[in-house]
Amino acid sequence: MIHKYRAAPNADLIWHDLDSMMLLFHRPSGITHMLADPAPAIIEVMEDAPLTAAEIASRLTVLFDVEAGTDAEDIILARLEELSALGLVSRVSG
Amino acid sequence: MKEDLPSEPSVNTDQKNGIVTRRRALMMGAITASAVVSIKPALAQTAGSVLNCEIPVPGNHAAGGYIAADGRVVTADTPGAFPAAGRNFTGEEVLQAMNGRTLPGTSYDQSQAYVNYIRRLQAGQSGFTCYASLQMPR
Repeated sequence: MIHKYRAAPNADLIWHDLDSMMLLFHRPSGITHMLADPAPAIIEVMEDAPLTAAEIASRLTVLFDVEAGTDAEDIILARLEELSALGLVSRVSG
Repeated sequence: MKEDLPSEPSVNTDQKNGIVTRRRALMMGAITASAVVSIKPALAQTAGSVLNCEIPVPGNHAAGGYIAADGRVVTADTPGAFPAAGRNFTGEEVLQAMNGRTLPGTSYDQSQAYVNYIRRLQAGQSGFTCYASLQMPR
């Protein structure tokens, strides 16, 4: 079963660049998150579209030099589940 | 010698237009390496029990490597280098080691080498998020 994910609406998020990581304030929960790569990039490329991990991997390779020799799709899936548990990403049915 | 050097942005030359563009290298990390630490609202304290998060020495990205006194990952035959720690260290243990105590089960010099390794961690490497969260004011 391949799931699609959608990032939280942009209006709900306040980003702050902290050099090697990003601070993200999530308005609905009032919680601030410290995000390390590749999590900020994943949310960035998702925009407002429901996407599979494979589609996100494909978008990432357009914008970034993705580290070679990694199983990008599996890592993205793990990060999506992590972000999903925090309410920053939601799993979309269908 | 195996070293952890920051990834350089790659240079792609668009032959047709003669434009040189640089794309940022994206550290993917490991599947099991958490990329997010959450902070409790209003209290600026981490919700994910930072002191119980764990830092492997070395992480998956440097598995099999030894740790030199200055924290670099080196080959096993490097004089004075220490083998991998037998277990992960918790955020609490690392915090105490950064304040002068030694990491559990290590000699003073070994602990210093491990702490130096942890200080060199970069985004995407196992333990980085845990180490970074220790820097948050409490």
